Amino acid sequence: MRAMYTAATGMDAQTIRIDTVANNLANANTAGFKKSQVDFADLMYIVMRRPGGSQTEATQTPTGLEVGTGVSPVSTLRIFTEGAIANTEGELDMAIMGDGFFQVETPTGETKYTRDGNFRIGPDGIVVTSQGYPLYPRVSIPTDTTSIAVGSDGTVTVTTPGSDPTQVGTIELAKFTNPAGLSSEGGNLFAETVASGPATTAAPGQQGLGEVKQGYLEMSNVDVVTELVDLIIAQRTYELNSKVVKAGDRILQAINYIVS
Amino acid sequence: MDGTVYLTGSRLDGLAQNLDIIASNLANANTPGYKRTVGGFQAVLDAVGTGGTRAAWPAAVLPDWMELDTGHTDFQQGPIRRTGRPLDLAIQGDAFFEVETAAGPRYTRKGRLHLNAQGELTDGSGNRFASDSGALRLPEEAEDVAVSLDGTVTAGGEEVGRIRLVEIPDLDALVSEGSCTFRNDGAAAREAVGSRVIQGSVEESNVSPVHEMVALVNVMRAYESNARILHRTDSLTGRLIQTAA
Repeated sequence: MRAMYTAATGMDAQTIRIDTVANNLANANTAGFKKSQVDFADLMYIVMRRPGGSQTEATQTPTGLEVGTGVSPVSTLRIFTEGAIANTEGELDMAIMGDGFFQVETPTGETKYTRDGNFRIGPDGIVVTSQGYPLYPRVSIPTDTTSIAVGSDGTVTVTTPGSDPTQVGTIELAKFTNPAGLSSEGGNLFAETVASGPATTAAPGQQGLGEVKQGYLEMSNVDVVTELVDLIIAQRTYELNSKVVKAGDRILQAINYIVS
Repeated sequence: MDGTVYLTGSRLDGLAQNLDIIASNLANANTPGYKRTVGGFQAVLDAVGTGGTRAAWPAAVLPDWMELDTGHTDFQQGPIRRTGRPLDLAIQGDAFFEVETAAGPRYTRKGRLHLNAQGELTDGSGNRFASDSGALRLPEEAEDVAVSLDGTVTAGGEEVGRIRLVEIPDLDALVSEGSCTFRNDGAAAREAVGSRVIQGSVEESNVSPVHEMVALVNVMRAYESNARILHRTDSLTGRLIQTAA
């Protein structure tokens, strides 16, 4: 009874879809979060009868008989559309207006990428993410700073009492040929992969990169209504597939009845 | 032996196969670009008029065998769902996308495009989409990728190429290879006419859950009644043997 296994692949696939919807909804308010969608594809077919086989010397069957074996989730697509921009007035809150990622240095010395522009000043005066990872290239803020200004081109300028504003660093953004190929590392961070291609860096506003906007945060791009619709579809499809398992069960029951 | 046993037995096999097809359709009720399989029954008749007593019966009312035969793929348009993803393309019309695989060109209605590390447009398995002019490669600093109704891709206002859209003269010659792709065993594909590409949307599976559920109930009930006939025939034979003994 292949049908029951086929239905099981359908139920598995819908479970993964529900898992993805759950993750999107859980992050509906996470700054810089990018939603995912699962993509499905049908599995191999079992050919019971080849199309074009000879019926007689002169005639061929116009169509074959191919029975599918189910469905498999093939990939999760990260959707990199821009999220809503919220005004927070935080001095070190930055939103990227367009393409690009902030670069972050992890404790192991690797560079990771994020759209989450919720930065703060670390214990030694350098600008860090909410996990405490330094922004790369590093920007150091003097202790007696009274105000910080981030230009749309990424220049960071500070004002200290009794002196003119001075530039203390520049923010660089990274760009990928295929951002959907980045791997998700948790903590709003993405890592470069072979599929994403190498990062190219430049100042904000250059080479197709977006500009940086100080005092704003990019919110999650999750659309709650769409996710709920997806949830309903996944749940109902699951139910449909469970009916096939039930039908398979009844057929097995009928088989037993034949020789009862 | 009574022909009923063979006839109902083959019918039971066919019904179980039909259930496999329904299962495959329902498993893919949400797979973008999936085209449902339709199974049909045919009665296999005794070679008509080849002597014996059977020739005296009207052949049409006494088939010897039932089997699932004319399975075909239903290429009816699936509903188009808006996703907002710039690299999701749906086709309105009869056309197919052509993808280049190691084994030759393959055809699909699934327009979920991906970029590889070189910036080329590929399908989910990494096969490149065919274009009318070499590889479709988006430039490094590509912004605002737009795909027009005829499949022309522009990035940042610069034309990159046109995604090839083809028509298959004989849809029955398409063989499913999984992953929503088809191999063409028939006449060569030709340039599509009158189909439109809709950016930011995908074509959903054309499986109708209602249709499949009705078919499911039918298969289940037909199976049960055939099993009952088989059971009854068997007990009649048993009684006959007892009487004779």
